[in-house]
Amino acid sequence: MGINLLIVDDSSVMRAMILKTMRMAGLDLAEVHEAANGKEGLEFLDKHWIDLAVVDINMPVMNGEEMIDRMRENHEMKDTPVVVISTEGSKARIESLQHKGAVFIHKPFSPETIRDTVKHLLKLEDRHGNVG
Amino acid sequence: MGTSVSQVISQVGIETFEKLAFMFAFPKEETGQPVENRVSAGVVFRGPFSGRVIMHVSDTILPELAANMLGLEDEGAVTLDQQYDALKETLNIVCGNLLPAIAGEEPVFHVEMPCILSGEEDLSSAPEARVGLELDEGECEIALYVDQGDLPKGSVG
Repeated sequence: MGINLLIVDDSSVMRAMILKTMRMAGLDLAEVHEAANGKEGLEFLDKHWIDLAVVDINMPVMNGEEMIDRMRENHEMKDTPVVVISTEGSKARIESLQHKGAVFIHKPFSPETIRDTVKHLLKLEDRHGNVG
Repeated sequence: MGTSVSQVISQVGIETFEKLAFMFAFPKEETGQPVENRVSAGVVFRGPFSGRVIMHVSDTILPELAANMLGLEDEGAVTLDQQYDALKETLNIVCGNLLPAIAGEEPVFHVEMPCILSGEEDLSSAPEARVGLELDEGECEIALYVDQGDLPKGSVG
């Protein structure tokens, strides 16, 4: 079964790059959806179920941290796995995101980092049958 | 001996181009000449010290930068909006990696949304540091302006 994915980033180039990198990493993707900010992301999640949200932090309208806060307050979305891909460099802010259950990947990123992080988070098996 | 801010900017710029778009950049000797036919982007940050990072690139760099980020073979298929978006994202990553490299991981910085500059902005104040990079496709200049507060004394990073 492929991963139903939501990518939330205000940069269309970065959304395309994340998608390209996830495909390069060999992740089995099913439906892929995109949103340009946290508000659009929440509106989508209100109506659709996904396996994984990949979220930027620094976005207009609603930033990624607020989006994650709202997700964690919502019964339907509170357990949705979230990967934050951001340039954030502050240890305190990264730890704050981790306390909210998000896994952090720093930009720029490699396909291997994305593959390993997503497999571990979603407990997917690799080709040798090992669970991430 | 500590690393200079210019060296840190140079290193962050080189790594960002390489990891983000598989483009290889090299430090360029300071000539004092502005980048020709340039497109500029800027981003404002606030924290223990506040200011801006400004990036000027030759317009010939942008099609390949955007195409590589998007994974497109044909640079001609890249729109101008995508080229600007790629430059803003590159600057965002440079700034996001530069600040902790200078100040460490403890301080919290608020980084605003990067924007394309029209070329009429007042850049008359001297930058704290400015570096030039050379790429196959053209040149890049990255400048750090500090408007409030002071950079950490001594070694950075």
